[in-house]
Amino acid sequence: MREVAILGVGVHRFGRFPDKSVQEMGQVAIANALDHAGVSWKDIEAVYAGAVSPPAAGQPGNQLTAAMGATGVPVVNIETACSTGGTCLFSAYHVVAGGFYDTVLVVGVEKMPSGPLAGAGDPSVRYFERLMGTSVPGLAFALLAARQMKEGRATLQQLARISVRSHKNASLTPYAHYQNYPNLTIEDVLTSRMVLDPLTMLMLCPFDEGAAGVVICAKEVALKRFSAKKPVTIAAVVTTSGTYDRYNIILNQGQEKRTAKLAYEMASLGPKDIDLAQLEDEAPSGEVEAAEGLGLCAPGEYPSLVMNGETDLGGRLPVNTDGGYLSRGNAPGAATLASIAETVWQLRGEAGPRQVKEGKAKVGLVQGLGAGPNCAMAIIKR
Amino acid sequence: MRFPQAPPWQGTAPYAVGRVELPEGVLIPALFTECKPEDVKIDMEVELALTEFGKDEKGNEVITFMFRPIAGKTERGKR
Repeated sequence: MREVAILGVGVHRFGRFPDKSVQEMGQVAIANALDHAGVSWKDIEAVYAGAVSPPAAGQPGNQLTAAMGATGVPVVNIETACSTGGTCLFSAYHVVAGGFYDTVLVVGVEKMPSGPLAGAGDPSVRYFERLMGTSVPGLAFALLAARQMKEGRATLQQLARISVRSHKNASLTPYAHYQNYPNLTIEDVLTSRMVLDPLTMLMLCPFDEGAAGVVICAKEVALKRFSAKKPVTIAAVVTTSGTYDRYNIILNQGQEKRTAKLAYEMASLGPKDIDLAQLEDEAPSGEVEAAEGLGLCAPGEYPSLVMNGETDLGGRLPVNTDGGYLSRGNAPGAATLASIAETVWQLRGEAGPRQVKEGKAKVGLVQGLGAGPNCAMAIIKR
Repeated sequence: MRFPQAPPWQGTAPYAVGRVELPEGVLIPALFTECKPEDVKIDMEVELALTEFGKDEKGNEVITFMFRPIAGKTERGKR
């Protein structure tokens, strides 16, 4: 297996862009990633592309490859709901590590319809569930929050504090959806419109439009052909689906722990080596579950880390440094790749006003969940 | 849930959704009846209530499973 580098990343802002097509947004992300990587479109030997909902979901890789210039390269289209980008990277990684292709583009794009979702992109939502409204997006995270509060694992104030930090970070992120709330208070979060008790509007992610691209390359090729200087590398990238469980399409019991074990083994690293983490925070309860499930702290300890500022940009373990799904936004096909891009910028010391640890961070973790259930995770190091 | 949902949803908002644990351990996402949304609590004891709920694509009346609180029982041991 060859070492695989991430040569460059690019993101098209997440949000609402009624005047932009799937191709336009995808092209921006791809062009930025190619530019950042120092490679040209003709250097790309294969494309792994993800999208969840129409119109992007109609063969996104073919749409974007045609828009960039039809070079005839292999195109693979992938969908695993909100973890789609992680699954694209997982798939592309193996053809590069295995020596089959040297330089591959991984790209995610999305143009989610506005308004309530009818279980978009989720084949496991059956007609009677749509009829009754028992499988709405965010519901799993609301039930999770209620359960965490009931069991004394988190308070509403602690969950709201996660939103405060998320929005502060997003205010420093040019490609984030929400950039207007740098100074929210816990009270602001809790008094915003109630949506899914106990989660208010400011505790739920927006379903967005946007795109993200990542150029990966065999490290040996990156150094020789593209004269890359100390590129960051993929220490691990894994994805899992569910095992037999009682019922949970978002995440089944112990899945984060199971996924993390695979990733840490692949990277020969442990949770103590992680300098920063981008976790799936469709709601704050998801971030708590992820952080504890991935072993980033002891069970039950995460909310106090949050309250003590340890997960802020200046803290010991900065989390969701670009605002995460919660306020950077969740364009499902592109979201995990945007988290990858943020990690790459942070590790390269290129994150500008939201840069952590004075650019000295060495290992970053990215985790994404998708209905299915799917759980993807990557560890990137420099 | 405080807001109406996308079609083909036929409920009324606000409404409560929970996962009901059957004695065999199966978890069922379900709606509740004969109580207000705010009265649905974690670990509340409930029983099956077959309930009329909207119409299907052909206009037939739909009967679905819902759960209602068991009078006098509010909570049981943690699972």
